[in-house]
Amino acid sequence: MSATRRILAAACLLAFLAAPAAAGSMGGSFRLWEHGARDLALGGAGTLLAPGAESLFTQPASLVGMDGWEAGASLRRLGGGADLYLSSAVLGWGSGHRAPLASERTPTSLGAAAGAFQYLGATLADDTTWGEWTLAGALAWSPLRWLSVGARGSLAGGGHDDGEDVGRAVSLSAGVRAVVLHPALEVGYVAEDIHHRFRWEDGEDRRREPAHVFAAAARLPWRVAAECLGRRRFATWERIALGAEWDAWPGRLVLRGGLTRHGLGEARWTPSLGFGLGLGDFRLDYGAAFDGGDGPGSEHRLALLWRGGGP
Amino acid sequence: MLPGDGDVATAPIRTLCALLAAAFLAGPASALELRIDYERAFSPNGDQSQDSCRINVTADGGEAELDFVYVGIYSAAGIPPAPADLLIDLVSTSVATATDTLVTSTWDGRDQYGAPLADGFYYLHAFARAGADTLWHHPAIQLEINTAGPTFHSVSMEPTPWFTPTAEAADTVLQLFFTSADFDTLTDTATARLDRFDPEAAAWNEVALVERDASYYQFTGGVPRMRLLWDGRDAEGAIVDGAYRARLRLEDDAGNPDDETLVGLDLDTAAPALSVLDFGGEAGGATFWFHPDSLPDTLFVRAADRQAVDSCRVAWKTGGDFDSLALRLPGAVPDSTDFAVPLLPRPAAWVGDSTLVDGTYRIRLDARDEAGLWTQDHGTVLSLTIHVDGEAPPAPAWTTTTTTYIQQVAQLAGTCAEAGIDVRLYEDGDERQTVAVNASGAFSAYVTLSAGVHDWTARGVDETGNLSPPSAALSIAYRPGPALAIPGRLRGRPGETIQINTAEDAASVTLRFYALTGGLVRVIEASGGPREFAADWDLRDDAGRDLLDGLYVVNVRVDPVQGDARYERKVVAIVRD
Repeated sequence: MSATRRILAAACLLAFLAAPAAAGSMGGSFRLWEHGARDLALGGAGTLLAPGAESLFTQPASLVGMDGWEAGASLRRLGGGADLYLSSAVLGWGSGHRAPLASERTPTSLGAAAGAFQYLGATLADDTTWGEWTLAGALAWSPLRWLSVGARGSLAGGGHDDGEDVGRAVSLSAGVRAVVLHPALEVGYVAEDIHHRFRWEDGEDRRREPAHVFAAAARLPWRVAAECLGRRRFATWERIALGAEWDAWPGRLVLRGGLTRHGLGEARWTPSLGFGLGLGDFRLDYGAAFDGGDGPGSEHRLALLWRGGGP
Repeated sequence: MLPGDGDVATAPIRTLCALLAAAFLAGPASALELRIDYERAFSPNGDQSQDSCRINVTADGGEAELDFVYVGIYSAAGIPPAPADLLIDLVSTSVATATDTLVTSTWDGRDQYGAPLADGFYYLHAFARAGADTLWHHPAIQLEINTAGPTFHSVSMEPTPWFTPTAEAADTVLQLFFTSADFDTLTDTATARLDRFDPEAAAWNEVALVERDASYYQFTGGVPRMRLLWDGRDAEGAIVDGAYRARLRLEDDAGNPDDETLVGLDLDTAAPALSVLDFGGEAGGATFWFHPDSLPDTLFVRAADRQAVDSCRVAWKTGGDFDSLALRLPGAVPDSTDFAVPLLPRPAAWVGDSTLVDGTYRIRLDARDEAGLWTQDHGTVLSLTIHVDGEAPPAPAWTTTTTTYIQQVAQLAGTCAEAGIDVRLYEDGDERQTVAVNASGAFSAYVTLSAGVHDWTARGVDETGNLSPPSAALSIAYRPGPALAIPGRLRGRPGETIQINTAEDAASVTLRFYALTGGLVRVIEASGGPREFAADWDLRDDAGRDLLDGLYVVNVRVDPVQGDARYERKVVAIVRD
């Protein structure tokens, strides 16, 4: 089977899996949460701009951006009084490095794999505690220089600390990204929760409605890159985001900003800011989203990434 | 009067009679014709109503000239009239030059001597001649002198004044018989207007009109007997149960006053209506609950009908079907409407044990009125269900998970394995409230809390008064004051109310629920105020869709009457059962 046929077959499979089989719900937890501080600083529009191990949480096809292995950890905390925190660890590895062409901005491997673990802890309104864990794994493949696809599966569990309410969930997502028209222009699509099942112990199966994430990114002059993203579910744009980053001091400092419009219920805008510091094989990222007042509260993320094994 | 006795008045008559006899034998030989217009009956009694009889005779000789026209009243109808039967000559006119003529005459009911004639039938004879060979005699016309008006002699109904056209094998037509002493009743108009009584308006309304049955006439006891027929239908064709009256009317054609009489009747299409008179102190209803120790030995039933009730029968259902043997109750005699059904000891005619153990029993009662209408055919039988229950229900269980309240009214909820009973709620052992358990076995009640911590228990009580053991104690703490009381885990159960007590008067309190991905899924305005607010979340989003289980952030916004809005955020979990 030629590469083109494989791509077409994968696209058909993706479209089939993304079609909802029955009415589902939205919200809830027991899932893989967005992790990266870089992603938060970009307003969530970092699915194409941040290829690497952190792409496991957003766009699995972007895993091929790894040149070797990557290991990362992050902390996420919700401000505004809600007692909720998230810690994550990720490990990824890319294989079959392609030497980038002069016009290419994103390093690409032939294949990549990554795994992650997350723990979400919260103190509920009645001062009892809650904990969830999530295990996730993803594979990505780049059959052509301009195209890559990826799939991600996750298993989540946990619940109330009294052990009475314990749930389990499995989820499958898939994505594709491609360079179009110009080497500096990329588009991506992620079908989230194309398969999803959740249940409490001895309970009935419930399902989260699939979401469709569309993204486009451009790498601009003066070391600026930008991405816009839209997430759609129940025929509604849940979120539209625009993010940009400036490689102010190449290899040392990156400044990021983003703006997110939440479309559910009362529409609102959430600005975000962040930066990245490069220290050899290490990178430290910080991101913050400001959502006070009627919103759910501001959010802060801190992430550390260690790269190695590259050419 | 004999010929030759010198009466000059009869001389021309005799001549005419001879001519008539010859003409009658020969028959009319020309186009000569007589047309007579008259009033058949009249009452010469001076009441200014039809006191005389008007007679108009038109004679047409065709081509021939008329010689004369004759009109006379006789006591017999025979042709030619016998001179001895002549009562009075009304007209004797010779018209020699005209081919037709109109003769108008009025008879006042007297003979030729001016003496009034008695009531009875008389005959008008008229004939004319046009030429020597043409004589035409009109057939005799009966006239009636009647100075006495019609009167109803007697009225009767068959089969009975209780008319039951819908009863099995019953007459479908009511016969209204009447007799009249008047000799000419057969020629009078007889009608009956049927009125139905409207109990709500307390008025009679005419619903039907029937006329005399022309095919029926009997002469019995010296008077004629006639009838009217009614099939029970009103003008719209419906047979309606109720009290009726018939207004019978005789209209005399001789000008005498009409006679009218009124008779009452009942159209009965309804069977007796059955109801429980007394059953262990309870009246009415169709379902009864008894403890075995308080089961009454007799069921008292009332069968109500506009007629007398003929009988009542009872069937007992112990298995899938009612006992084939129906019991005809003793004492079920006409005019008796109350019946006693013995239950304990059970009559020997019924199958099964002589005593009633715990279980459900059914009784069906049927009654018949004097017209033979059974309730099961023309109404609704009385079906009773008797539950005999000596077993206590199981103890209820609480489903309320919230144990701390900041507002005094709280909704407590629970379940009970036995549906359809009541649950009594106790606070520290003192009974506070009784609430019903629904068909799915759940109950909930809003209770008023006492400050501090108190133990609430629940006990089920069934229809027969059996009391369950108490439930496990639910310790409820009520601590009034400014606070935010939000259940950590929301299961969609009754009583999961979010309570917000503000430190100062607030204009509104708004709750916004967010998914952890940042999406706003639901906005709820809390009710109440100015310092105590409450809100219930049905665990759905603004579009009405169920939200997936897991964590959410709720943002509670308080807008004080004075000052800036304040926010407080909490994490809650949806944990559906």
